[in-house]
Amino acid sequence: MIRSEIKDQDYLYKLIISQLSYDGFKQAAGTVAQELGMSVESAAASNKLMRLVNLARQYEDDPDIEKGESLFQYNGDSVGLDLEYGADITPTAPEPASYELVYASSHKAPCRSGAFNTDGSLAAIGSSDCSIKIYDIEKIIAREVRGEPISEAEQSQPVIRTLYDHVDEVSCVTFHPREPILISGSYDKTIKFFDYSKMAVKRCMRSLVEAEPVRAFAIHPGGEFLAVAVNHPTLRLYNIETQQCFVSAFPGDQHVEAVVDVCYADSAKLLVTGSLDGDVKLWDGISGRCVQTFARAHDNIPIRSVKFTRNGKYVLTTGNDSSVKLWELSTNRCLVNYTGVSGADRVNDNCGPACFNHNEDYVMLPDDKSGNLCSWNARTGDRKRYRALGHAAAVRDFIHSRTSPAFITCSDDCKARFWYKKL
Amino acid sequence: MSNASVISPERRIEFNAFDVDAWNLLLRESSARPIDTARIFYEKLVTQFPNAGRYWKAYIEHELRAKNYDKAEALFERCIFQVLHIDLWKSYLHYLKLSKGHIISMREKVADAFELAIDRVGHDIQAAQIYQDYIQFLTDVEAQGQYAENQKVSAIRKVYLRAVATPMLNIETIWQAYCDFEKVSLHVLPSADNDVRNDQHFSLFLNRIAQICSYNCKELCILLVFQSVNINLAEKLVADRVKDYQHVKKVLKQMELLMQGINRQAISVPPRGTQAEQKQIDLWRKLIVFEKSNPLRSDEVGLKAKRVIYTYDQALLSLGYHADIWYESAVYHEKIVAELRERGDMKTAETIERETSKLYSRATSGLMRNTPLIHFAHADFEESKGRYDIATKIYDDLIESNDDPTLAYIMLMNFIRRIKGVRAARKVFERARGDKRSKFHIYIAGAMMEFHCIKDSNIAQKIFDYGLKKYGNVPEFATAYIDFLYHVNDENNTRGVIERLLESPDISNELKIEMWDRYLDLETQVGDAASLRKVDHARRQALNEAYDDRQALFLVDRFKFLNLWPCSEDQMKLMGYNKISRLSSTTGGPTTSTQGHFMSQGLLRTTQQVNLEISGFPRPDTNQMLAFKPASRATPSTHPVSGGVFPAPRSVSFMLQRLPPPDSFCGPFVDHNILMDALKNFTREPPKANYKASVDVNDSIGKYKVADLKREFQQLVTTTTDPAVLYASEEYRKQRKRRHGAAGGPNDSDSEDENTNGTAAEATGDVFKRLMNAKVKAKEQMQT
Repeated sequence: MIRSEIKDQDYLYKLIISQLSYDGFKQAAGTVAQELGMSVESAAASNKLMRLVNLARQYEDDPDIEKGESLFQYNGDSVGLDLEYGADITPTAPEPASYELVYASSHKAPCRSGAFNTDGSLAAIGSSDCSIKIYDIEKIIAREVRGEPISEAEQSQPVIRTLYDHVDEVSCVTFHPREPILISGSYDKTIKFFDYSKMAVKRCMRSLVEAEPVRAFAIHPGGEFLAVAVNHPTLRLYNIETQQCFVSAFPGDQHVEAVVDVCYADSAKLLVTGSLDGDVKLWDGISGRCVQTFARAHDNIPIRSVKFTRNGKYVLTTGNDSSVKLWELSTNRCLVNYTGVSGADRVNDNCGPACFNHNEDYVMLPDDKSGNLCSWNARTGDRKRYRALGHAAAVRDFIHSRTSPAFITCSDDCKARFWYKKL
Repeated sequence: MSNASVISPERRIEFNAFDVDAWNLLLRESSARPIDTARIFYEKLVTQFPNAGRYWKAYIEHELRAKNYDKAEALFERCIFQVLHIDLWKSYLHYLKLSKGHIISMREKVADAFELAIDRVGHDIQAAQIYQDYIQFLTDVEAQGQYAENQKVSAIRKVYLRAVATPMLNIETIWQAYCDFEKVSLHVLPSADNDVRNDQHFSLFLNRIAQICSYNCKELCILLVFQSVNINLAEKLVADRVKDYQHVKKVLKQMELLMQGINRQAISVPPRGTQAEQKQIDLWRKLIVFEKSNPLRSDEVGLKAKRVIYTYDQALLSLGYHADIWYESAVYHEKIVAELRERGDMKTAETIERETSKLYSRATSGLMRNTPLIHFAHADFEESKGRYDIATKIYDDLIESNDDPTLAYIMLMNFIRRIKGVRAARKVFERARGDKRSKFHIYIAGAMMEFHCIKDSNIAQKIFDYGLKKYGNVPEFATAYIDFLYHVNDENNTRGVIERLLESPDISNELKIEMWDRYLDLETQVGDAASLRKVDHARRQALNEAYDDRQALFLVDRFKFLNLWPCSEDQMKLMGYNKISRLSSTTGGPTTSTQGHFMSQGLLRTTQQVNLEISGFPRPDTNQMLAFKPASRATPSTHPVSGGVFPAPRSVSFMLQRLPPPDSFCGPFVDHNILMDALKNFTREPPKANYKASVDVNDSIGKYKVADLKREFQQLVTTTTDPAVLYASEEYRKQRKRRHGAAGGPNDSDSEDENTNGTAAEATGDVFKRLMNAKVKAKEQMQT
């Protein structure tokens, strides 16, 4: 047989497996794959075959159609995860294992949370020592490019602001989408707003007082509202300007146990929350009602984190047992299961969250048992090479920049490390 | 799911036509629909964003999917030269290759298209694909015979050389391919290959062979030797280029660094003044400066210019609404043209000059349609090149399309005067006067032209008089007229006009003040003592109302000159003289006052635009939710959702936020038993406040005098600290901390607050508890 024909056949089998796993016949897909000597991971769940068959049938009915029409579908660079249209795009972003450590910063106590701003030029790290530090990422990278050694020299210090206004551990930080405002939540039951455009800022310009320790929050993409998860089952929505607080009109919408993570979709139409009771809930961004519940999303294991993809069509969830899943919202089901973490099957409260890279080609998760960074091809669930993170304790927060190949690991060993793919 | 309650993208676009997210949503929807129904949408899309390569590409690909090749080709023709978007070009070449590549007769056309693409977008950092495709295309050509074979090889080599001299991603692959190519290509006898034949070493080498061998077997000899030589030769050819290639790679590294953070997919929208936007502009500028520094160290001005111009074009694809970048690009074009002329490269200079003209037309017919500045720049450029009819047409178009063509008329008038003289310019003035849309400025411009060019103040004055009838109430016009009269030393007429204006019944207050000021200035500078006094007096009389009877202000007005003031700025502020800020900003000089007015108007407009933030996101509808106030779990609550209570109504919570903290209350205390008794026995009609009735100060209410009450109340208000100040004070913080610390240990609290010798409850400042404790103690004392 000619080589190209073999290649075509391989492609056909791959499509069949993809179609089977898309239609929910995971078992059958596995068997077929085994029989053919392929791995299920290499074929992302997709209904491309179905669409192709439909096309072919059209062609049969109407044989005037010219040949090779599907050739005109020109695949550009991928701009986000969308298995409907781009299931077989090969990743163009640098593989997570090729990132390198460019800077390490020390805090006085364990680092608990981090955030990048919208254009990836700044990052904030919140720590147990009640302080928040804002770093200038460009300074870090520029220094790295110049090839200077990683030192804590005075003049090239990338910390541009240090904020002390909390009296307990800072549990979450985020940047305002438009204005130079940093928002932080703490176990001291307050949420504080810092105007970091002022050089000498130490104290907040505004604060919200909660009744429970704040665990996480998500800011509305327009910057006017804040969805807050505290150590309590009820999800709150704050109007930042008036400081008023709102909850869903239907009490049954709420979780049963404390909410641990909340995320706004980029379109502001949906919210997703994960809770200690193991459920993942989707909320309507306008009415504030719960519109969908994935009950026991990780088999009764408490949820660690939830994250939307950019197009808002998928949700990435992490369980406390280091299991990572991708959910398709149009069909309300788990589409990809990212497996193979060494720390799996071990419920661990210190587990870090999973995260996409900047163009959603990869999913990454810091594995606290081995201290490595696990990564997968986001579309196929194919596991990639490890990257040793070198922290002496568990990684508590893990964030990736939305614009460039850079991520930060915040660890219990009082260090935050900045990683970056050098050119 | 959630769509029902979301504002539809159509509505969002109606609200804000540049809501890119909404357009993207619609684009997604449309791409799933058949092309016949989606075409209208696509047309709208590309009209709204005419320089967005991404949208053009989506439109064309949709047509291609529907196999409307004619339509797609027409679309390509519409956009491909306007929008130098790399992906768009790639998809164009892809289409051509697939549809025409296999037809022999069309090969020439496809090759031309490739050449064109390399000429237009070949400097892009992502252009590697185009070069590779082109080389592949050329390699696939089947050459018949030696000559054709050699032609083919040299054509391919030419493309390779251009590719490896361009910094772009994946250049390593191309370089590798080039090295391999040289090794293979030299198996073919390079007799027709200019590049190799001209190589000095090689011809020397051939001569040597010829000398060694007898002439008869020369050909054979060459063939034999060649097998072993060509590898070396290839290595030599490649080695020559290695240095250049290394340099190109270095430049590529720098470029990658500079392009980091630049969003090339961004769609042009009007500036909103956000930080991210500013950042993009800065990044682009950095890249342009880098390109201008000639990083490739090319001797050819044309090549360097092409790269810079390409970078400008790329920047304009995403920053198309920034007039400054358009203009900078045009200025750079002109600079390069001058440089090329100096070097004697007339052909390239002319091409670039033509490009400049095209650039301007692209700007003025596209996104800069509503920015007269670029239109004027264009007209100026054409004028400097002597193409007067084009310049006239630009002005005319601008006048046609604008709501307020006054400025365009004035500029046109100046232009016509420059090229054809005043007589022709008068015709423009007449035309402008006839146009209902033009404003009073046209009269000032017309009169000034007559005055300065013909030097005839009579005609100018007539024009002014005519204008005054129409625009008598516009302060700028009146002042301009009076300034004019004043400058032609026509005091009598000046006085006459001012008085006529002041007497006219419908004069605005602002203009009146202005006119009196002018009058006073005039008399101070040219009038005699009697008339000055007269005017000063009349002015005081007339403006008493506006000046609030402050005579010192009149004095300041009399003894000031331009921006020199008879007393210090602070003194004047204290006097309440508010003209200073207005005038000092225009830096004196009566003629600038009109300009100053427009400048401030312009500034106002731009700042308004900057503040215009478009969120465009659906907002949570809090009416559909329950108000909630987080409370500790111990608090009993009737709220249906656990973890909180109902908050106070908005107005109440607003008031509560502004009330001083409870511990700042220290009396008077009310004995509530007596109060309750009093309320129980209260039988009279409750008193009603009458806000309208004024209370006479000398009256008395009961046994209290109103004046006393008033005074006491005022005293109370002034001596009470503002809660905001109290909260902010360091002392308060300390006090609070101390109190919190003391709450645990009741024994310490004595020293802290001497008035209340009590328990923890007192320390926390609960008034009610304090009161109860005092009572209990009183009882205990009674019992003992």
